[in-house]
Amino acid sequence: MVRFSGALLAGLGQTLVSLVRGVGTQAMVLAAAIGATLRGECDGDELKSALLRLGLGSIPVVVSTAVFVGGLMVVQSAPLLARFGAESYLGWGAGFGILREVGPVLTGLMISGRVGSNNTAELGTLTVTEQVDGLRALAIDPAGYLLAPRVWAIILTTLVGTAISMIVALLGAAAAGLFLLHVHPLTFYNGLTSGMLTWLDVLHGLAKAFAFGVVIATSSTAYGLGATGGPPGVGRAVGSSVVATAVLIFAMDALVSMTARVQ
Amino acid sequence: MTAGPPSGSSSGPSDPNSSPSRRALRGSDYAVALSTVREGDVQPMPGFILPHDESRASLLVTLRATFSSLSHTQPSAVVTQAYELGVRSLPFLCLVLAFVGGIIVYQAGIQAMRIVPDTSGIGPGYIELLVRDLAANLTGLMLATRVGASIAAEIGSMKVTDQLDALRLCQADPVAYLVAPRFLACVLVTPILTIIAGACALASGTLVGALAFDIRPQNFLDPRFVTFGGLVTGFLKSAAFGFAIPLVSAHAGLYTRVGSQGVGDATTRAVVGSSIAVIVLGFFIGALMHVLLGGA
Repeated sequence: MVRFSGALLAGLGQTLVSLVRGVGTQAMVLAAAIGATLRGECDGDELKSALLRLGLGSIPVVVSTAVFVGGLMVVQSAPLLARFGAESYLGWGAGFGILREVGPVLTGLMISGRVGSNNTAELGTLTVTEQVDGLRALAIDPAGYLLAPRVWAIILTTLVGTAISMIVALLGAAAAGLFLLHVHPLTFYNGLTSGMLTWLDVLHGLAKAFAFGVVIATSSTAYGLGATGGPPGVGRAVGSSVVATAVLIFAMDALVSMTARVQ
Repeated sequence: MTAGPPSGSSSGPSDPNSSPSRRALRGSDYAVALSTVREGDVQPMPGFILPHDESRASLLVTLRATFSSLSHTQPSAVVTQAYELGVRSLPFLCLVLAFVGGIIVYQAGIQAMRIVPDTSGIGPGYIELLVRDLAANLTGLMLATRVGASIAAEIGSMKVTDQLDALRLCQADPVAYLVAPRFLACVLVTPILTIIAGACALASGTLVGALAFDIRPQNFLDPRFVTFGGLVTGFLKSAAFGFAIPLVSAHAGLYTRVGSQGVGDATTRAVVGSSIAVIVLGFFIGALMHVLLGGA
């Protein structure tokens, strides 16, 4: 038992140390991307192709997740509603969860899994096959050609993806409410717009999405550029990238929730 | 050296490198190698059930292959994997669940204060939600990320470096040797991890309740809303996740495309696939239990 808890503590410490180290690297990635963009070196064609590849490619995943997230919210609140007989509050409850918490976080996690790890895999492949050094040898700055377009594309994808998933998840919640709890969609809509939810809540969710986008973009890029040791190294980099991103997403979630306290 | 006569005294018209004596030597080498492998610690494995060509591959085929090789799994390998996949995910799981627990209690507290300044229902409601949904769903999602990525990266790396073919050459079926131990370990470990991580979320929720809203822990830790059905729902979910995650991820790893980007792509597919599996299974089990328990 002592040995077990010792291993647990050591693991926790390792996780924290690697997180702090990772955050430092990510700040450098973000600084490089912003610097390259300010100097006007952000490659337009690369940005377009990154938006198509990473952005459009993740829409199916985001939409299919969102439908079930909406349903999940309804199923979760079902016993509470049955206990208090408060069916008119279903729209408010589901809307609150989807707009402020679960929607942004789950969309962030899915985009991290789909877009972030794709980005890590691509950059990791370029790194282990020494193509990044090849770019430098051709006097092309990797910051403007590789980093900046991907970082902006991922941040934009996370924002737009979260907005889409909010709408889809609300539709999914309304459908689940109708079929599982027999709550009429109009009742759901009225609960949603009864005034307890405002556009500030939507803004709150989008602020989180922006923070998650920055985290996903920088951490996936940092881990990709740090990959070593051939194709297995790329796989390892993808694994540690998604894990670190997940922790950071929840940390950012706590941070935004606690600072942006809506009265 | 360039165009000189062949070094051996080749009698036939064929290539000098494949002279009869050499070929015989090689063949006997193989026979010796195979016989030592058969006698050694590698148990006879079931036939190579898994189709090698991708066109016939499907999750169901992998599932069937995994099941038929379960009886050949070495217990020591399962223990190793339970440590690698389970114990080593624990810090990550505890960290995330503690964060989420704190946030949820905080948000629920703010909402409760907005409507009625009554915080007595937060603790019991939170515990009920934790037992029925949250602990299982979040642990599942986090395991899909951590365990899914590691299984796919490991098996995928072995695929692109031809180590799966090397296993086949040693009469060891990759499914029985690699997939089945991971599968068994995940199935066994996921419910336990869910309980530990849920306890972390409970502790942090209690702490936030006490610090931010002055709820006394003895009032917060009140399991009066927890039902037997809720417990069963939570357990069913974690069991289903422990079943689905290793399967989806191992499938992605086994069919990694050879090439420098293959392993990365396989890891991506594993994370996305098992996350979606967790969300979809969570919804269906939740809905099913809701209907079964007659909550409508």
